[in-house]
Amino acid sequence: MKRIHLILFLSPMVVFLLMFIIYPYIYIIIHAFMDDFTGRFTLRYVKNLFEKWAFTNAWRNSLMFSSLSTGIAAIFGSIIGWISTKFDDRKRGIISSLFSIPMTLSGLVVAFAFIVLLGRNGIFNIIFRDFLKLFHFDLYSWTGLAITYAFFNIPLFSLTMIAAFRNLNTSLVEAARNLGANIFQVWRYVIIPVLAPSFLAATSIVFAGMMGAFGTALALTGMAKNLLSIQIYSHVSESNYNIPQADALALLLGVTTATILLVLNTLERRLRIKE
Amino acid sequence: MKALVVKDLHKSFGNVRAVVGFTLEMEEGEFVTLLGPSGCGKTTVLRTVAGFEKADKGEIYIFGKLSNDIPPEKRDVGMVFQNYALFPNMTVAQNIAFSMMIRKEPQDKIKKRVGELLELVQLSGLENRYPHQLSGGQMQRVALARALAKNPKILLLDEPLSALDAKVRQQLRGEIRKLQMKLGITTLFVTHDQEEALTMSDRIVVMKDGVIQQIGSPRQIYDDPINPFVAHFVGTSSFLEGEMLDGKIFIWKDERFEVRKSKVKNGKALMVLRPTHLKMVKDEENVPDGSNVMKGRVSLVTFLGSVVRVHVMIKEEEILVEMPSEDFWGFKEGDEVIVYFSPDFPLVFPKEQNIQ
Repeated sequence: MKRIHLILFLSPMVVFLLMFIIYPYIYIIIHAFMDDFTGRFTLRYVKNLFEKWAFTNAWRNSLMFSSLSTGIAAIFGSIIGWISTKFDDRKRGIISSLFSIPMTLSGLVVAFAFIVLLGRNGIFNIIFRDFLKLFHFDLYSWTGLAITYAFFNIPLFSLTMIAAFRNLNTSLVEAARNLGANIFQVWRYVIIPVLAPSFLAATSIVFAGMMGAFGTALALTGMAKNLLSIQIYSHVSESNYNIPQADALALLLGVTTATILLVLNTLERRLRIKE
Repeated sequence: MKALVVKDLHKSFGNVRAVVGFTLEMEEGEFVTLLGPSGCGKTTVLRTVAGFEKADKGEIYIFGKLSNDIPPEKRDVGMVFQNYALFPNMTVAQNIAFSMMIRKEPQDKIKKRVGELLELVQLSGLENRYPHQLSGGQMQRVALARALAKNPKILLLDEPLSALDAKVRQQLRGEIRKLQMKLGITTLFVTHDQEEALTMSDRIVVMKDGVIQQIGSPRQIYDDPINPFVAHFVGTSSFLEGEMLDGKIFIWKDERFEVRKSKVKNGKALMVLRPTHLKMVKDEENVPDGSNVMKGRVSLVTFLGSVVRVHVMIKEEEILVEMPSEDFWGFKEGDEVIVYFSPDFPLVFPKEQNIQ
């Protein structure tokens, strides 16, 4: 291919990257260090990130909540992946199709669906609180938020793990058993090492998604839960307008997520097995 | 004591009967091959012996010990898989050492044994490679060493050569057999390749639709197939449909052949002619007395290296004749020839027995 053809061929991708990724990032980085009124360089907004309780707390909450949600997705996703090995290809295909549905739904719609189901006057609470007088489930708590996000994350994690388990060569398991390994040893020496890269890949995707998670949280709890994404939103909305501070928060979110993804991806590459 | 006894084994998957009434006894040190087309149940038998499938009915005795309910990891059998099944996250040495690692044997002992095994399969120096850095043949040697590492009483080989190139396959075929004889290890081998079965085995078990057709030495299976299926599956044959008269004369179209080995006395019958049983000449004077004689026209000559195979059209049927290359003296397509065979050779079966 001639050079000019290559450039033409790649240009849509380059334009896309420039417009939607590189330009916004550069803009954010510059403005996080720029005084909004004077236009001079300042470290004030970045310093705020480490000094204001609201920001350090949001950072910690985002990390903890993302880790928790990823953990839930990892546990259930792995179990579902393992269970899927008991089905034939056709049934597995149906499960995979069903699990693709949540990802196509808008976070806002799902939030309202959960309010109808688990909200203060939702079906669940009417049965368990009003009729059975057992307990009240608070959808607007961290637990409620975690369950709502699990609706997206468990299928996402499961899809990766279903594919990973499907590609797991069953004769590896049989070979290990033939060589004297019991069920636990088969998992320890064969299944887990072989599946680890896929597991880490799924962890990366879900974790990155959760760090930026915003729509459902806002729809459910407004600004009551102090997350980085919510903080950013509050600084670009009317109530608390401060664009440079929002830029600095976005920078923090980006750097944190990128660092963790870098660690996960490096680990994944090292564990990735060539076959 | 018998090394392996499989008694009246039955196994179905859903409503597919994979194995029906399989019975086999193996002597210690014997090399037995299960041979048959895909889906004949041969792999199921092997997997049941390994413990990966549970028998619906029947018993499996490994060196006298009833093994039906013993889990795979407790059975004294080593298995080699068609797709190698090497652990991709482990080196060659770690793969071979796996069973010893599980048994928590001391490091120095493991190291010594891995060295010995690598030498045995001629892979010394490759201990630190990963499976993806090896060729197919090398991988299967590692798999063999790994299966032997636990000193199994019986070695199970599940089509270990079928994923390999023809050249490697032939070489490894000989090596496995030599190794097996050297170690004296009882071996059950599964293949759909008749050549592998004929060259490697002490005995061959020919299977079809889950049922044993014939058990015998390679020679017996080839020379004295019990039915047209075995004759068709093992070796090349031409089949002639005709009629038997008094158990002595086979009538095919308007030809009459004298035969000595017929399973039919009178009625419709099928004659099996091995290409090597047939001889071919130009003039009738050269035909020995007492031979059965047919006239035909050469339709194709194929050179197979050590032998030449000639397709001869006789009364609108194609019959194959093979002769050693050095005996071939230049027939061409279109030549009129005389094909003859001794009454001792052909086998005649009842017509109702199918080839397929």
